[in-house]
Amino acid sequence: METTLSTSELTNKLIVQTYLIYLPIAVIMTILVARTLFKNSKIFMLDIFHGRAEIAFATNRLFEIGFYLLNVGAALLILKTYHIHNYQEMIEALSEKIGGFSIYLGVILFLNLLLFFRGKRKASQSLQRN
Amino acid sequence: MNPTVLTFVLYLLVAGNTTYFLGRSLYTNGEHFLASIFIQRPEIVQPLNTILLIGFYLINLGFVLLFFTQQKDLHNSISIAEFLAEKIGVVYLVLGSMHLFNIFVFITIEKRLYTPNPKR
Repeated sequence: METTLSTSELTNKLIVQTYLIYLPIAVIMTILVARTLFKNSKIFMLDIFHGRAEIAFATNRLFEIGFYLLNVGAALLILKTYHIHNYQEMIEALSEKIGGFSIYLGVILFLNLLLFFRGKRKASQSLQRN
Repeated sequence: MNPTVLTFVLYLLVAGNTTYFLGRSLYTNGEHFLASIFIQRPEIVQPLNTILLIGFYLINLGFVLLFFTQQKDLHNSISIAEFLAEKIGVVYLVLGSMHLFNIFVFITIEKRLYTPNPKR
């Protein structure tokens, strides 16, 4: 009885540690990616909106907030872990989660880039038509 | 405090604040779009923006409140944290999708009206 109680306590402690390590890393990764992406996307936005700075920067800001929401939501959704009994399993669970999340972030980043390029192409097409 | 009540208060604090800040950002940044769409009637921009903001709050807070249902027993802090993460994750995804949808609506309307060589 004594040993089972202490193992379940150890499991709880390890699960809490996993969450406390995983969440800040995921949030910081999201913030870094969003900062870089939306600092460099201003030039695309200016192209898309034909140099009208006010609307371009407003759109940029709105997209940035949507990006934060979606990615933090996804990070929270994959938070839950089961069955962590020792430090080896904790490290494995952590690397699985963080690796999966960073792959997800990379895919989303490239989708965003595709979106920007598509907008830019359409904008230049509409410029030629007129 | 009863764990369910505690969870509900935490959930409401996080989701409510997110909705509030999201609405504020749409309000301040969307004003440029409205001003560009209603370029001939600038007096309509401010009231319309406020009405849109109120509608946004109503829909999203309604969703946030409706979404808080729980059948699991929340006995310790770990289960509360997992439950909250799941709920708030879904709420963030839904709010984010609605936000992106709003931006695309703005962009579509604005693009349709505004061409590089306007004829007005």
